Amino acid sequence: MTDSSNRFETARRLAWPYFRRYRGAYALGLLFLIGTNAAQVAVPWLLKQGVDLISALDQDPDVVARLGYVALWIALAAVAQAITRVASRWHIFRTGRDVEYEVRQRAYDHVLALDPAWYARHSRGDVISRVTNDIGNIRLLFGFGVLQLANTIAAYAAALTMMLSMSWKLTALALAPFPLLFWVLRNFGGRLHARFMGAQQSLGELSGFLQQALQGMDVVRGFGQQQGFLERFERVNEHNYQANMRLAWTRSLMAPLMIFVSGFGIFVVLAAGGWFVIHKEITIGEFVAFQGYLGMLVWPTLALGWLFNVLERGLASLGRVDELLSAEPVIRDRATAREIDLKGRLRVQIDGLTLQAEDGGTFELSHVAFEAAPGERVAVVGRTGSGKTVLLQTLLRLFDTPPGAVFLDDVDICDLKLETLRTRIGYLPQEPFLFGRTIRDAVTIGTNAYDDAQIEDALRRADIIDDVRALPEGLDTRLGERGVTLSGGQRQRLMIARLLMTSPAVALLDSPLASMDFATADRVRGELQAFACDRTVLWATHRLETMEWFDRILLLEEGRLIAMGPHEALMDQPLYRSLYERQQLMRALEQT
Amino acid sequence: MTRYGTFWVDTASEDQKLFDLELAKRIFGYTTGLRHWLLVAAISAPLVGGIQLARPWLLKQAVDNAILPGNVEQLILYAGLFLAVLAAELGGMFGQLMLLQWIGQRVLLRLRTALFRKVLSLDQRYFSRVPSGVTLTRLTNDLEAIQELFAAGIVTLVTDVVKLVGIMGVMLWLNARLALITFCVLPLLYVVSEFFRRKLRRAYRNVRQAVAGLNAQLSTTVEDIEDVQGQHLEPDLARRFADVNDRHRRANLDSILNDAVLYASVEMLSSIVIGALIWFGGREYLEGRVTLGVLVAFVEYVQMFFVPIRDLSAKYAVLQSAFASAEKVFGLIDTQPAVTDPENPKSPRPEGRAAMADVHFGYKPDVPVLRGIDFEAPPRGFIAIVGPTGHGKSTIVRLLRREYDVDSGAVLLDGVDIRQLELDDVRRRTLAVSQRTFLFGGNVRDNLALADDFDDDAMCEVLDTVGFRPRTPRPAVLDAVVSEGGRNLSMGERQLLALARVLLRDPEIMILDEATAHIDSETEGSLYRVLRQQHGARTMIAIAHRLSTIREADEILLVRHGRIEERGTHEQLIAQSGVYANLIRLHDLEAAGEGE
Repeated sequence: MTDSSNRFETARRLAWPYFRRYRGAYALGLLFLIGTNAAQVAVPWLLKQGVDLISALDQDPDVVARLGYVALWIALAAVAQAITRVASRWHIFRTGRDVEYEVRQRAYDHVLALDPAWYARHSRGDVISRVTNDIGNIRLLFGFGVLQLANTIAAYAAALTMMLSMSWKLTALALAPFPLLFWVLRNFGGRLHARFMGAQQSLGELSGFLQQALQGMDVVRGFGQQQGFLERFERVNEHNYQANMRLAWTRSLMAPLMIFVSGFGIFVVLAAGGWFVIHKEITIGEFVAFQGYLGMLVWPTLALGWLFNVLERGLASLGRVDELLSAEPVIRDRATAREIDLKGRLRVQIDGLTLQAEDGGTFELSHVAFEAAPGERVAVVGRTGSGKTVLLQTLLRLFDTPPGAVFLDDVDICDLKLETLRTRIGYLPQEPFLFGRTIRDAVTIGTNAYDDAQIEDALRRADIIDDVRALPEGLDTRLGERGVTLSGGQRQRLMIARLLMTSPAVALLDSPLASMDFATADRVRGELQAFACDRTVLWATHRLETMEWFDRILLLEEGRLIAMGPHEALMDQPLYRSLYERQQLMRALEQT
Repeated sequence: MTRYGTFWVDTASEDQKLFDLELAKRIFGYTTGLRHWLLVAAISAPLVGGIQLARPWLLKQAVDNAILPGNVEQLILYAGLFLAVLAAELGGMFGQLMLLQWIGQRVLLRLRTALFRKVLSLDQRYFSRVPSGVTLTRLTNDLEAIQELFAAGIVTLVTDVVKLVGIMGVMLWLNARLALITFCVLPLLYVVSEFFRRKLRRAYRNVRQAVAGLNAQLSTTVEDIEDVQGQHLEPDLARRFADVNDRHRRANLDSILNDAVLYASVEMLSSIVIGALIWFGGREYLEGRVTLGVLVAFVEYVQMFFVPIRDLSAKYAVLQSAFASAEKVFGLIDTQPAVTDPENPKSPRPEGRAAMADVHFGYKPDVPVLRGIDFEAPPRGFIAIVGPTGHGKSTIVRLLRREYDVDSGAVLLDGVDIRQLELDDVRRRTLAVSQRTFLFGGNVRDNLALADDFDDDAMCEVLDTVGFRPRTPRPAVLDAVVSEGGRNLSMGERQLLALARVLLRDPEIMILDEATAHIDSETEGSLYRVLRQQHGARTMIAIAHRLSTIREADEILLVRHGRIEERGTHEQLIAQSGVYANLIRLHDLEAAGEGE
């Protein structure tokens, strides 16, 4: 298939539905656009009437009155032109924005639906670029592109009609350089875009270098590498300068080109039109009007240079976004997925679960099997990297869990709707990230809590209320660059508060107390234990404290379940015993 | 991976002065060697602006002297002149634009180097206070905004103003009455464009804010998709995204409307003025007070004259944001590190002797962290520092390498106060494997050599020494890809690379601030082996949570509450049966060696 038919196919398949959907707005916009151009060509024509009227120099007593009419009509045409111009831009540009809104929302929803395994195989930066840059191109296609295409056609049709009605010879002469001009502009537009992208890319490289250097500043300074990094930086900086200068050459041509387009037309009218006036082929009024018409064509002509690029890029971007939208998550609801009513305490059953790492190498979990009765309190312990987090995430189907391995109340989780599964399981990740603009946003996301009393109660139970109250705007304090930065422990407690406001049937807690000191951890632990009472809980932890509270403890080692039982029973297991006693000593040492 | 607070990004507000003389002077300071070119640009500005006035005047001359009288020779003359003026205008404009962008880019190049040089000289206090993203913004976006001062700022503003004043002058000279009638519309034009510009500015600000919000939410969602899905945040996030998306759309609709109205009303005003010219000018013509050529020229001037006025306030905005950025950039350039090189640095003979003499220190003035630390590591000696987390062990390392200056007391290196040594000298003498290992994106070779030169054999040898077991055969191991932050390597592998990076440089003093959380037993074995092997070859100071590695130390310091509570050899401390002895018991319990 050739490139152009491919593009045509893209346009038909992907762009056409939008044109159809918004045909009403487009039709209105085009109608107003025709009105604008009609009003616009009227002004030079009226100017011609006025100039011819006065240059006739006949002593017609009506001349002054007729001149008044001409002026009045010019004013009316100007008003009509302004109104239709606003209306046409509004309808067409707005449609571009509407399409943008819609495509962006669909793309984001899809981004949310793709599973971690899909992301592991694709560049996340590329996904982001498709949802930002490509959608920008799509908007330009449906807004600016459509408007300019229609405007160019309308302006040429209107101006040419008027010019031809005055003098076909002068029209032919004035437009003679235009084919060449189109060719120049077309190339110029392409080159400008290419160099602009070149400059952007080199800025990206510069930013990338700086970002790494800043993040690795400990190493740069620690190894006395400042001079070497400065030299590298200078190379990247110089490279960026070169790219920008290449862009500058092209960019500096833009304004002169524009002046050339308008100036050269006026030159032709001056020379040839002047000649025709002298030889009485056109009137002096027509001479003036021609200047107006050529002026009218300047912008549509220049826009042509961009137009083709805008259309091409827009179609290419539509293709790229469509690719993203057509990506199928591996982990998704099966056709037969059920939305069963899971209430109260659930039984969690894992049956010989084996999970291989994404790269096909070592096993992350092998032959793990256990059953947690409804309401049972289960601890998951083991060293770092023993598979605690993976085990919890498997229950959420964040990994592609094989069928017949994990069951909730006898239902294979692969047969459950993902939404059912994940809303019935409450999950507290190990390294909490706050999703939100303010503390309130971050704490209430995914919960139904919107009243302050409820939120504050949860904050109090998570032992974070005093920290929040101490902030300048309390719950509404902004997070992030221009707001507060919270410590890991504070973030963890905020996320615990969030969890406390939900009521899942199963709670998966991944080292919830890891970044807190002993005293805080003790207070929060009590609340978490109270929360866990009404549900089945799997609690992964490094801190082997109050282990008697758990009904059962799973000891993982290198992805295998090496021991299982209540605390007393496990004290005979050497690894468990050492982990436990170590914790006791750490605490004793910390508190002396 | 460090995770930064939230996904929301705010854009700065814009209550900034239009022109700041002090900042302008400082920017001017970076134009040395370019000043004559700047002068050329400054002189050419009125010329380029002025030459644009010639074309309508030539048109007038042609109409009055050639076309109406029917003089072909004159017509050829004026057409020729017109073409010449057009060519001069194109050339002048291209030259001016090119010159300005070149100067702007040169200044950008210099400023960026100066700023990066400054950043490299800043100390730990700065980096622990300012997130790296903020510094990155200074070095990228803020500098780009300053560069716009040249490319689109002051000189073009001058050109525009000269052009406007020139047009007004020529119009007055050609016909004062018609000129004044035309000028009647100017206040209206100004008010209209200012009114809509204001609205547009607000709309643009809302757009920028919404864009920042959209991008930030998008990228954190993509980066943390596991957490999002694990907590089933999708519906809420989708709803919030839709909110911002909708705000973005509405802000844009706002800007579309205001922009269209501004554009259309300026166009309308210029047409109405042309109508008025026909009405008044026609009568003037009939009464013989004006020629037809003047009328034609007026029509042209009116069209040339409105667009720069319309765009004037857009250019203000460029100036404003340039100065806002300049303020931040120079704020950073003016930041003075507390830790600096001495004026007359000493360079004692390298022996490998490190000592602390009654060192007191706190990160904040009222919170002491170290309260009187005294010790000496003799050449080729082995000192171990142990103690609970958060009691000052890592702070000792930072002070030894002069990341901070002590509050009182002194740190001595080879008998000299380190404040009298060059910073680079201090750091090259005392290389450290720190707890947080940073690896650069690139390959193994880049991460070992950094910006220095080492030959491949030496690097391979040191990788063997530390037991970094390549999955690829040598020497390809040096080309093995390391992703940003070393994310494609295990924690243990990262530690070993960091150790190799230090050993490669053969420092007189090697400091091991041991990673505690994520080391597997294999890595620990490697560290231990290297430590034994290096014992006696160089001075070593090791912070250890894993006590098996340090039993053979010449002296063990137990640091608690910012003081050395116990000191001596392993046997001596065991005999004391104090805290250290307890720690050892703890360690022995860790048969399998789990670390928290």
